[in-house]
Amino acid sequence: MKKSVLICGQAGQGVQTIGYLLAKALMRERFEAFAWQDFQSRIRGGESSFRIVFSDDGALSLPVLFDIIVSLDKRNSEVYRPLLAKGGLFVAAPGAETGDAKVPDLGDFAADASKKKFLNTAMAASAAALTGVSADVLENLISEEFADKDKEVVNPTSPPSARAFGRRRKFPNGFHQTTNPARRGKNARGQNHRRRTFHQMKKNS
Amino acid sequence: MTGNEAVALGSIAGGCRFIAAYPMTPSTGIITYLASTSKRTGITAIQAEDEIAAVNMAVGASYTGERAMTATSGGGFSLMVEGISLAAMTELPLVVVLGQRPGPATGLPTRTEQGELLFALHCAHGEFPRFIFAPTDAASAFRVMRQAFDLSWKYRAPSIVLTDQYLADSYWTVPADTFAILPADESANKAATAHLGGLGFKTYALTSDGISPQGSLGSENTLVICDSDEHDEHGHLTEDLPTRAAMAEKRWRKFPLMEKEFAPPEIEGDKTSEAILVGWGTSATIAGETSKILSAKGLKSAFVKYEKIWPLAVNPALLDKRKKIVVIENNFTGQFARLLAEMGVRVSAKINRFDGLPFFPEELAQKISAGNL
Repeated sequence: MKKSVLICGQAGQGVQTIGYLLAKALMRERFEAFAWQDFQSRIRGGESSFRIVFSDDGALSLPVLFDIIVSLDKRNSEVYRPLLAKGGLFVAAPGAETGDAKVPDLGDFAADASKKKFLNTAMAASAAALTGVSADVLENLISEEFADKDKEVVNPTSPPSARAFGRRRKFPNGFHQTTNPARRGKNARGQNHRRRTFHQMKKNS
Repeated sequence: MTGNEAVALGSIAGGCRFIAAYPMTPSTGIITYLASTSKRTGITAIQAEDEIAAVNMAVGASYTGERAMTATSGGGFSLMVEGISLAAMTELPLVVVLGQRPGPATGLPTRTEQGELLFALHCAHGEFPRFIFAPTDAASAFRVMRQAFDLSWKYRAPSIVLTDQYLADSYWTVPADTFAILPADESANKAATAHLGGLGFKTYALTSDGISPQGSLGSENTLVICDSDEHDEHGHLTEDLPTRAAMAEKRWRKFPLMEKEFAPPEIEGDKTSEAILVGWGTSATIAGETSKILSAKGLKSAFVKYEKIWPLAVNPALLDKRKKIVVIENNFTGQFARLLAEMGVRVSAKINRFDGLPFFPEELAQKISAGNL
């Protein structure tokens, strides 16, 4: 099994944050993940993408077309929509939709100006839900990564993914099958997983 | 982890004690990681005022006997080449990471390319032996950095490590056993500690293998002199021309031994395949992935992954005239193909990409299977 996700948006919108969270969450779900960053030499605006491929049998390079595209920006929706594979799913944040884009119901995260800064995290949750990442894995990860941020961003009582697409809902592209409970605790070779010390080093540094 | 983090971890495993660098995409992540972990590792990390200062600080740190490095991109490397020449003449070990991106000049700062292989091979004034590495992925970066340090200190010759944006900025899943701590390379320390003592210490002794005991600044009761001018065995400046010739010969006596350090990379995949895909650095990973796609389609395919570039070791299969050698690289002119050709390899086809994007193996496999080379 090999699947791919492309997250796109303007520089400064949190494309890297979503991509990093999702790639790491997929790794914690015992997949091998590979991600490449495609960005412009600018601090804000423009077009950028974070492309992830994940597999249970090695991931070292990128596909041409992607199974899921998540867009944070209308211009980026236009630029990257051609990279959607046949039968793939194109998801856009509210206001970024074009053509056949599906827009998750993010409730306050889209409507309330004070919460718009959390839009990227909400979209990360949507992308995670679509790829079969469990809410627990993502919530733990967000708590770790944003330990020094406002508590509101890590509030587990209102995971946007639950509202956006539902945790257990089936999707037309087969992604509900991607999390294999039988593989829990195993690495890609079926061996018992050992927590990588690298992550602890990074966290403690 | 990112490729840059793997490079930094490989440096720690390689015994690095000092890094000086000036930030430049895509290499900046190396010094930021080493700086952020410095309290735990004890590594000194300095952001220098520019790349010239950075490389010379690293050479100076090496003079004190500590393992030292710097990291930059093409523009910064251009500024560093005089310092690399200084490291070569003083025979002070040094590791330089060159994170490639599309040039010339500022080029495409955030995109990927492999355009500086021949620059790294020929850079700096004067002739001197050097090692060049090009990690193929993050696990390779960890291994390679350790070896770059060991060999640079063993032979007192600079090691240049070529990465690129595709390696440096990407996130890779790396098997935990990659980071198993290997025993230290004792031979690398032997030269540094032998024959110390007194004012008559010969840090450039004319040894039979060309490797002289390094010594280090501040060694107790030992005067260690280094000079960027040509020098005698004690390190004193000399204009004695026979001594100059003897020193040049001494420096180059190391090269045949350096050549023996690198075994030719294995042919992987179907060894009976007529076509062999060859890549170096990250394009080697692409060659491997492309070959796997071709095999899955039922097509015979083999590949070779080069992570140790110089001294170049050629697998005899690549010299077989019946084989179709296809070299894949992220540059316009086919720099590695040129090097292989100089070694007697008949390159049948070159696949080059130079628009700032990495290769996509599916695209390559389609091109190769359609015969559009």
